[in-house]
Amino acid sequence: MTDRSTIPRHLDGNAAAGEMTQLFGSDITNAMGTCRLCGHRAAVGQTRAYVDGPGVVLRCPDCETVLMRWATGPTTVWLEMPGLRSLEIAIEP
Amino acid sequence: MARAATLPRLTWQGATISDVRRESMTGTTLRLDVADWPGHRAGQHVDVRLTAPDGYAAVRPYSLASAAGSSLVEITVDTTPDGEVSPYLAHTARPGHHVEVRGPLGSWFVWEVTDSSPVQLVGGGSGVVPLMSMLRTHRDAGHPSLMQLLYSVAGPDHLLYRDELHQLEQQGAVTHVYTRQAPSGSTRPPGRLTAAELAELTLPAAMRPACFVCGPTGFVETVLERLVELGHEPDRLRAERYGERSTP
Repeated sequence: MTDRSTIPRHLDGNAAAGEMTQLFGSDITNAMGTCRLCGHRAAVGQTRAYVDGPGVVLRCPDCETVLMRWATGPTTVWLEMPGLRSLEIAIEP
Repeated sequence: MARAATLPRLTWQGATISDVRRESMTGTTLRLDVADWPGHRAGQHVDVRLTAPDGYAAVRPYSLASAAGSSLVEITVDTTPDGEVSPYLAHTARPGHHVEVRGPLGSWFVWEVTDSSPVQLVGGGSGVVPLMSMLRTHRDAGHPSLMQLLYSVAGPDHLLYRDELHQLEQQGAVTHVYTRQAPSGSTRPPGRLTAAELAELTLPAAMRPACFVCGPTGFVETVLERLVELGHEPDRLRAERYGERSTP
């Protein structure tokens, strides 16, 4: 039986909106991302966000592949996007 | 060697707490005075930063509870027992104290006043906070769409926005479900929301309502699964999870 208390509880990508605004210069929580592994398409705000570690990890809501992760130090942000095939960001008309 | 690109730091704004209202045994609403607040949309949040004298800073997101379209910036904080930020905000913060905020943030878990479709809100515990912003926005705008809330809460002592929700309950827009302690006179024994109750107390899938679900992660996962079983299209569901807190 699985002890649910040991599973890290995720938030939504939405909760990382402030961090992502810092990274990308605009709020991308409604941008649509596609998973490189399973092809699932979801808004960044719908991804699974793990925020309790030293950095932030966003995983595919369907197959749990790591889409994006970043860690912020005093003077730099280190960003990786291992599982993200594409990111579709709407431009205001 | 080439220098790495530099990002401008996103501005943290000073905010003065101008009002503190106890909402429940564990919940407190804080009104924040923020200069040049650009206005927010219903469902958005702000990040709140507290900095200790030694420079250690903690940042947490808090949903906005006040209606969109008003200049009022209010968050409701429910205490997390071993939290770093919430006990200060809920118990120690007083009018005149300063914090830092950035926002409004989030463009996914948002109800737009331009949306005319029916709306079903499902909140667990303090997950009701962003949904309250949607209800207030809807009410203040005299919005023509149908909007209703199903609110799962531990007991009367934990109920947020008691008077406002009571009024909306009289109008049939709000249903309460008590999970641990029912109010006196209640015919329903306390317990978690069942699949049958969810079906009975929410708008039918045939109406294709926009559904907003917010609460502890386990609660949100269960409600989303059941809504899909009831025939709601996943595209019509938006969720916000509050993390590790147990069932309200």
